[in-house]
Amino acid sequence: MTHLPVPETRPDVEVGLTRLFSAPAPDAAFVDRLERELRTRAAEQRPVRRSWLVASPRQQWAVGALALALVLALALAIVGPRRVLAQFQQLLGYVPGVGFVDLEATRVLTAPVQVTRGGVTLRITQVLAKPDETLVVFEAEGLPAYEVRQVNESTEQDLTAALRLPGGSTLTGARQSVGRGNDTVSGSLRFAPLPTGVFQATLLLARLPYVEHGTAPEDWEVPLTLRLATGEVVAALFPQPYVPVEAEDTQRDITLRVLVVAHSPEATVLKLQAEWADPTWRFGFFTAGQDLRLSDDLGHSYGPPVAPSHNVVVQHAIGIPSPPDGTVTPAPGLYRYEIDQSFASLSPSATRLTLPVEAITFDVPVPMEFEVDLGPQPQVGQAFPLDIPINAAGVPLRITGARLEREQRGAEPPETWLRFDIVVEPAPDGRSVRGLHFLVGTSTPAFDGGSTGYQFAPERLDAALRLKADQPLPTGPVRIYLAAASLVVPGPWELTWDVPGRTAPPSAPVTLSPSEASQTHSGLTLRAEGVTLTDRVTVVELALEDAPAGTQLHQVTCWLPQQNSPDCWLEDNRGNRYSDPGVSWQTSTQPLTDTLVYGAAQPLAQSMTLHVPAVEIAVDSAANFDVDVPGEGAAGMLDQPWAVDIPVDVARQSLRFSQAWLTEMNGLPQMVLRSDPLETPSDRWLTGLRLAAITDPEGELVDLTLAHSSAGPDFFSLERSYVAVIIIPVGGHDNRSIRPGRYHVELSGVTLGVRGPWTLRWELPGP
Amino acid sequence: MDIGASIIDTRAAQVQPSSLPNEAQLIQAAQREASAFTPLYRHYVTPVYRYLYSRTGNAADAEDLTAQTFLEALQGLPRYRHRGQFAAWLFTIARRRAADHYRRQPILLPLDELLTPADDDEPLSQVVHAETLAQLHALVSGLDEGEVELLRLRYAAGLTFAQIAATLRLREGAVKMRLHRLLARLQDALGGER
Repeated sequence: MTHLPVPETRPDVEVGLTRLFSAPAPDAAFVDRLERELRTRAAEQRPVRRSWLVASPRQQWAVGALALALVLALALAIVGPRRVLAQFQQLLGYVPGVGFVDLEATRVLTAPVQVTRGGVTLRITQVLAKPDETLVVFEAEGLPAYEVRQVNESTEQDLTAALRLPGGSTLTGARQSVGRGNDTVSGSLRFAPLPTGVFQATLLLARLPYVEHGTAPEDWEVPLTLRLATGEVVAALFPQPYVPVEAEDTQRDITLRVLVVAHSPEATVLKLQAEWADPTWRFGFFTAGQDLRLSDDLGHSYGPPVAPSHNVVVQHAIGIPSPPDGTVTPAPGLYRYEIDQSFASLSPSATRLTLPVEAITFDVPVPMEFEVDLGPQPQVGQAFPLDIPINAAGVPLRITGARLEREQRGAEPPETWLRFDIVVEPAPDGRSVRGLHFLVGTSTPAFDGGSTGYQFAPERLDAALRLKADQPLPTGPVRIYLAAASLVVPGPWELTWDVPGRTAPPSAPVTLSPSEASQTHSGLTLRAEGVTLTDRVTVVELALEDAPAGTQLHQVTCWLPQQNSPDCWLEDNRGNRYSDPGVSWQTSTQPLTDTLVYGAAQPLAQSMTLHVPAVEIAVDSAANFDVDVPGEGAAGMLDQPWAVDIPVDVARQSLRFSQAWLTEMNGLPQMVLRSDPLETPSDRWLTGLRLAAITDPEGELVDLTLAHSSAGPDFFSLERSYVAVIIIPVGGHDNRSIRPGRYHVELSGVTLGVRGPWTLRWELPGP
Repeated sequence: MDIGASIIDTRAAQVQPSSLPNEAQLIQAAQREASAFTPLYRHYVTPVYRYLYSRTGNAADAEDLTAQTFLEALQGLPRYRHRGQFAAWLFTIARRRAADHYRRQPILLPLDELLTPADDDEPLSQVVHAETLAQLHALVSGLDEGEVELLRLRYAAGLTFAQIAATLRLREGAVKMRLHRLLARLQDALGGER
């Protein structure tokens, strides 16, 4: 095949294209959330059901909401936030699942309309006939399972929709956004504006999306009657937003403020704004990767809303309007970023809300260049000492060296990387850098890619440049250009405001200590040590009673091995089952391992029953063993297993590690130890070895936060066997080069899964 | 100091959706045990997201479509036959999801966001000027969707030529040829306008 390289383009073409198509990395919280969702789906092993991930109507509204947000933002920039919002508030409605919408001159549906045919219900949940478009939001349920109705993937794209007007004319050509669950579909249709004065129309759907012809009712007709969204209508239909008073905090010259808030039965949504003075900074994200959580004065902590369709996130950056001559004058104070952020619905008793923001990450420019002299005959594996000081918005960094590495990934051609070791020196004010970005392309013609800084240990960064494929190693001095750094600015910011209209005395939480709520199973007595009832949550704290010496409750697990879904449930005497409310209680931002949180008890409930299928216990016991990391040629042994024979007897568990290999995870050399297959889990099963200490050949303690032990299905092979695995960092003090020799591993016990079930029942106090 | 150009970092080009070590094995494991899908997800979530962000122009939609892409991939994995092009398969799903998204104009970042202060004293600022960006923005806006998609897969998703070829069902040489011609055209046009 003729090799045709990309042409030697003028520098600004390729860099410009990179800029034009630049995109931020996904928000870490989103990545984690999606991973959890995927894991749940994977465990369910069932076709996808309806979820915010699949059928979120917010995407259907994003453009409209974004446009409104932009208008609002520009207005804010010109005349100031408070005055504009006071005006906007009269026109602004919070449309559940959509966000803040300007409803001026809009005709709306005053109640959902639904039609049921052949067991399938089509529901029109909202129509917004705006001056610039007509938006129809729909959902359908009761469909045949996806596998049954879906024959052709193009089916989903062939939706034929129209709005028939009273005179017989129709609006067609709807743009659509659809999603599906297993037996549901939902989405939105966007038509041209409805003619002035028209308040009735009929939605015509030849068929529903994701439904193959003949598998479900077709030729739907849904009559729609609209009303003008006057102030009264808006007030009656939509939760009214309010402007919180003094919900603003400034730290380190960065101001965060809550511009507007709305509470609905399903969610709380607020528009959050960040404003900073330095025009060279670009907003990255709030916090350092965790979800924002809202807390109230009672002790509730609100995460994302449970109802998927209410998880609204609309965000945008606000740039500086360009003067006619194309130049831009930096104007401090005009740089803002806004986001509509939603949370689980508010406790009726909450009167004061607090939004803490621990940190904000910005991209800041680091325009500098330096040279790495690769010498006349560079070799893969060769290291190049460097001492390059960098100043990233006041945070000092230092590039201490570079190495040439070759990576072979599957069947792909090997790639050669120039990897840099970077030390981040702590800034006195707590700011830090979590990523460093190179400029690639024509400025550094030897490279066509790079890895953004990866923080594998505190104050250490990893960043690398990839050499172009099919090209020899460059020789001599190579000039490297830096572009930007990800700067983490710690706060904390604390935004606090009163919820208007909350004058009734709050409903005080009730705490129970139900002595009757315990049961013994498999030799373990599990007890509901405390139950807290609020108008938003039921919190159950569990404990082991009279546990054997050296045994503690490790975590309440709602999963059994080989089970498809979690199976803890709380039920009252009236048959109501309670689910995750999306709200935690008191100070915990992470679920406590021995605490389960469900929705608030129904008013008429007299007793509650908690079903726990399994728990995980920690058993203390000491054991230790040694394992050798080969010296000569270790670097060439990556992912090449060798046999070991390490028997381990700990806490009455006997296993044998029989295989070891070196691997690299996120740039860190690590050794994996794998056991022989363990017994199939039955009543008790090993879930992990508790690592107490690992000492490397130099006698230094290995960072246990980088080590890992677990027992479970063997992901390293295609066998479905159940094995124990220990992962040991072997990178020495710099976490880089493999440190060969004997490693000493000390164990402090095991964690075991114990099959129940335990059924705990307690009475609720009378009204 | 060239603030704008300096923010052009490696994020757009740095995405490395080349295969994972033992990718075939990971895929086989995930096909048998869906919970083993996680390493594949972690490896590809960023390039997929960036590609979809470049299609939609906003994080909310990009997140939705990213979620849909991986959920569909998870569902479709048992039927997937690995021929060394998992990334292409994944991006085919992502492209279809993006196409399903309500039809908006191909989205580039708003020009206002791209135009940031420049200072010609710094070497980086010589790389790209606001004026050039504006011209390039206009030129790219005038390209047909196939050409924009080619640029998107290259500069937003960071795919290799081989991966782009597999995604678009073209030969690798054809992808290189098209990109070569496209960049040359943009280069000529830019030159002509300056």
